[in-house]
Amino acid sequence: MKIKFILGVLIIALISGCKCSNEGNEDNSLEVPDSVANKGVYEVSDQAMEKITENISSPIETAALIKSLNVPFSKEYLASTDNVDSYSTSFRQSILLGIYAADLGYLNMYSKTTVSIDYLKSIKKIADKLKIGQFFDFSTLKRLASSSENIDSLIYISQRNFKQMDEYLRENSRSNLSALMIAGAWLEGLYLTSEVYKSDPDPQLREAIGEQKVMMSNLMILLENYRNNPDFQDLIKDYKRIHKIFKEVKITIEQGETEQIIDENGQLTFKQNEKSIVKITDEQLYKIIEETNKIRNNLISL
Amino acid sequence: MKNTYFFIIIISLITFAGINQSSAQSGEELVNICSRVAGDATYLKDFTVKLGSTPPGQEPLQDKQSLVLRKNTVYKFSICSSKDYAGRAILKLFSSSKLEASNYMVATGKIYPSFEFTCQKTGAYHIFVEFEDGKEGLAVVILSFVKKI
Repeated sequence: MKIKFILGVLIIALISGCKCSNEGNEDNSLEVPDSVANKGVYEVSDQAMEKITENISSPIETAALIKSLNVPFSKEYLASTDNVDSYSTSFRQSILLGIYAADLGYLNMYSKTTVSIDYLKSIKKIADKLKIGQFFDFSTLKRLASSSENIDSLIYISQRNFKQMDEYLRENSRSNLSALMIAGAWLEGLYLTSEVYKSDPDPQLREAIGEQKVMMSNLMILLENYRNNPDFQDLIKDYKRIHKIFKEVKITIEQGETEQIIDENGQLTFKQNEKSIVKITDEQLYKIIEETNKIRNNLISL
Repeated sequence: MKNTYFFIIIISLITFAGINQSSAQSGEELVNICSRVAGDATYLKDFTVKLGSTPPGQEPLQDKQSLVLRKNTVYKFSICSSKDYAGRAILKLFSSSKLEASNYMVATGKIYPSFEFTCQKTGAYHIFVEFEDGKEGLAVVILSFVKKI
């Protein structure tokens, strides 16, 4: 009887013990190959890097701007998913993941759910190769993409998944790959804006390109942190070419006081009256468009 | 008989531990709940803030986050405080050192669950989150995109 009792308690303790350890790790403790782990000591702390990352705006905002201008959708702007298996290094896979993330944002904004399934599949493939596929809820996203009515959930879950992948990389000594993802997504956002501007030269798009000067300064701090990594050196050189042109773009501030409004529904709103004004010449604009196009196409070429 | 009592105690401890674990609201759950507060606005990012209680006589503990906001854009900030803690979150949005917006109305003492911010200046902003009266708290802030203007 005693033996049976002790055995019973042991089994229960074992079961509850197993459950707790799974909850803590959530199957995230994958082994990281040496080739994809950070190499070398970097100057900026992880905490500071996180803050810098937050200061690079989401590509979904770029897609929202393009859509708000009633510009028709074009698949021509997007990076092809045909040769996704051919990108063999974690360096190129991470950049491509960022590029596809921006493209997915553009597709979702236009509710192009059928095309977005191709991108979801490709993102899942790359994420698996980078051993972060466990954060990309492909089955749920694929189900949501089957109907354009679920677009809000699709955007929410995909954005959250990208955030989780990024956080996991940074927490597991692979912040170099996180930086590449962010660099890829930022570049693709700028590329999309530039390509749309070429066919529809709207002043808002012109300003949106010019204001990327702010984000690019943060991005350069992020990339420069990995300048001792040989893989990053060419990329930094390329991005510096765009940064050099952005340095000539002027952004001035017009002073004003913020207004506070509470409407009849009790919604609290603040309207900022301090304004930023972007001064970008045609020459600077076209140089940025040209360089962006060149660098982006080079990064996705095989 | 002794063994039966011991067995009941062990089972009760395991069961109660399980109940406690499942009812506590995690940051992740709070993000999912808060995304519903954001309504139709498009989710952009979230921040989770957990602070202990502030010792008496001291300024409330604060958490600081940075973000970039873009001109001609209406953003929505949704602030959700966990039911497991006494503290209700107060968010203050700053541009440099200038207070731009907050969900806390000093005049009325009301704490709003969300507010919209019409941004006219592209640049870095800072959000400071503290809990009312320096109480211990867990909160999630969701930044979402409402529209371009």
